[in-house]
Amino acid sequence: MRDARELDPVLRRIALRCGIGAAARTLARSAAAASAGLLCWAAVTLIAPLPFPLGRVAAALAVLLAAASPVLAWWHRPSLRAAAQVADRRLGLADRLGTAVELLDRPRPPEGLERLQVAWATATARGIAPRAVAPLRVPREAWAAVAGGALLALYAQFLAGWALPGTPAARTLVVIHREGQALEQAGRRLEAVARAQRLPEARRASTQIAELGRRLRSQRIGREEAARLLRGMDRQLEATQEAVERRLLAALPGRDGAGADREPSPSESGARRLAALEEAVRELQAVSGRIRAGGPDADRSDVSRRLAALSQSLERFGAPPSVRHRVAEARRDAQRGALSGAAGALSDALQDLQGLERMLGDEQALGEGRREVRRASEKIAEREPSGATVDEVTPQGAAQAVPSRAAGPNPPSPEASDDSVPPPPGPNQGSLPGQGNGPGRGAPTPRLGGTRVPVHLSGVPGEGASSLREIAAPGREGSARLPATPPPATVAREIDRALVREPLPPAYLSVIRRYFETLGGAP
Amino acid sequence: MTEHPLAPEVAEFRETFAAIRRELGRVIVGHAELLDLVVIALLAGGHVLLEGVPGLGKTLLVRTLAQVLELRFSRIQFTPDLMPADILGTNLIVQDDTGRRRFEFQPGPVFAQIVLADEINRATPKTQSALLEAMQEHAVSVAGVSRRLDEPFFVLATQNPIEMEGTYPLPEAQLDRFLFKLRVAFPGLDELREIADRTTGPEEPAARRVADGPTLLGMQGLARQVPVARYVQEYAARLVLATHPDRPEAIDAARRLVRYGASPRGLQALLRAGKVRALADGRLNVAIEDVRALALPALRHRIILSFEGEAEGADPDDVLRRAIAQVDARPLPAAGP
Repeated sequence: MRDARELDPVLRRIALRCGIGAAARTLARSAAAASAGLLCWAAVTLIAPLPFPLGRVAAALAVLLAAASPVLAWWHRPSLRAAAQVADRRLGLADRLGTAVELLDRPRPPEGLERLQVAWATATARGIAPRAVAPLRVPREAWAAVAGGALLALYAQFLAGWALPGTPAARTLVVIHREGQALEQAGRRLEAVARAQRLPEARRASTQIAELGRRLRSQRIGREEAARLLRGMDRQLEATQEAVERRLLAALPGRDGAGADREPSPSESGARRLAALEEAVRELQAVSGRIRAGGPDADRSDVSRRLAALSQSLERFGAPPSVRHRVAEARRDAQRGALSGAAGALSDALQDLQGLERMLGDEQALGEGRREVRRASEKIAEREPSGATVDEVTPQGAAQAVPSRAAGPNPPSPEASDDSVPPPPGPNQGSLPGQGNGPGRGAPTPRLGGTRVPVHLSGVPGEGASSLREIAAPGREGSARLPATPPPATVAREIDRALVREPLPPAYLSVIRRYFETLGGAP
Repeated sequence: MTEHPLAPEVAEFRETFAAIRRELGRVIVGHAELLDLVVIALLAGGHVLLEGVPGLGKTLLVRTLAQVLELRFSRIQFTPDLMPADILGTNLIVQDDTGRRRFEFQPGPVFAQIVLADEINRATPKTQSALLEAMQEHAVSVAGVSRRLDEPFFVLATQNPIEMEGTYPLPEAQLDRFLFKLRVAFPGLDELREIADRTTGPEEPAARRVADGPTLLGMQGLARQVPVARYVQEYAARLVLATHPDRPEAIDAARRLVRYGASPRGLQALLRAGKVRALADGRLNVAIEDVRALALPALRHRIILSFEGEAEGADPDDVLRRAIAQVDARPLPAAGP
């Protein structure tokens, strides 16, 4: 029927616009409700340490609402009859269109006044602009959504990361700051070691760890964000460690495959290998020193014997072939009496081994850094943090990981300066004889006082306040009774084994060993 | 607004309606809505109960209507001693030229086309009920013989709401036969001045004849053809149901103040009158606004107040206004594809 054909398109357009309007209202209401929910969530995060990924949630909601709009518009689209009634009501048509639609829907065709009515309604519909019936306006509820979004933006700018004092969220914040402080200090210590041993990767990583610690300590940061940063740092350290391992694998073909030692837990085989390497370096240095000290008169047989032993040692721990080749070459030179040639070959081998030593040191230091990062991550992820404040808490990382394994009774002070220069070495730690601030060479070694001052730690780790007391006892002069002599090789070997058994950071092993070696070499 | 291509008969309907209305307005001052509703009731084939104090022109209105329509008019003054036969007529013994005597029916005043039942509540219920059949069936049964009344047949009754002593309130069945119950309000200052001018001058205004019985019947037939949408019917039905206290659709006021709500005749009255109103307004369909506009006159006399409602002096108009508000508040039919 012609009237129906003319009436339907107009009503369909009206229905579509009505559907869009209804969908817009639904979306605006949903957005307002979502923003209200997010505001509640944000308010709760001021009290409880809940994750609040505002950006991701807001983006997901926006995508969801955008995807739902066409569906909602289709779903809310009224029937043609309802659209006709809407048009009647909005334009004051006194049910003209609604009646016509009903008459056209009847099984029998309209007749008499009915036909006249339909024709009249059709003529009316021709002049109707759908936008006049169903104008698309911004729904009132949209303002509520905008207000909610503005409040969320204000929250993200000014309140995110804050917590009400005394609440679980505040305690979590304290833990984050405390772990940040611990990471910063651990990073600085790692940097000091890396500088002392010239470990390039460890130095870079230590700077990043310290920077991450500073960030955790100084910013308003939530648990999730902190965990994310720590995960990122862990992945970064792992990648660096993997690269170092690949280089090590290339240099030491007999070494275990990459990734086998990549777990941040202390690796005994790695430490043992490092200890063997250091022993080889030490032996090489001793033999070289003996050749240089003795000149042409050096005991060739002794040099040759020691080089033979060294070759066997290098063979055992799988030193690079080039090193072994140079040592063998030096041995042949020594047997022939060409001690200068032997010294040159040994020097080359020493350089190669020192390079390997640095790589191993890098690997171990990176592992140590990862352990620190993982420990901080686990502490922050704990559900019930302790209520201690930052000032009351001694960084556990500083107390457990790096300083406790450092040589000497006086660990480096946690209150290190903020600049990247490592703190000056203490009287007996981190320095070599003759280089530190202690007494002059030959002077009695300062010892701690006879009366032991107990150190009290209150509370349990991770809870309550703990105190740290520095022990500053005067040394006693003339307490040394025996002149220092270089330890025999067997003793040095035993010392090495003992050091390997001890739970010391591998990066510190060389420092400790060098310290005692230097003591042994001192007159 | 787009004008519809009026069919000749529709145009004629509008013109005639306007003419009747205009001629009534020549004589009757003010009461515009009342006049409209009276004409609507006439064209819808219904009867009207006028309620108002004496002297407001009720009788004048009916008489003028008879003049305008060229219909036979009769007036019955209802009194307590009025008998049904006085209205309907009776069989009398008459003697013809041959001397034979036989019964011959003498029609009463109801055998007219416009009947004014003046002060209808002064007659006894028995006499009032004599009008029942005439109003409903447009026929009168006397002595077992049913006699049709001439069409169109239109009863216009009046009653005085003040002087209630010695009156007999119309029974519900009787009230239900009236299409409308109209309240004649007292005229305002301007209208009183106009009345004074018109009725105290040298010439009294006179109405011209603009339609006759067949024309009215044609108009009634045309009005019945006006289509009503299903949802408009539903609106009217919801309005009726809202006045019934025992229905779930009832409004609170109806539950509290009403004993019995409007009857199905109320629904019929709404739609029949709505059709005439739509045509008179130049529309070819009944609109919700027609139902809304006619709800009070068509339903107010069909609502029986409860004792509580009577005690509180409740007005059925208030109940109806609340019912309209509630039904209006319903949303449009559920949206869906």
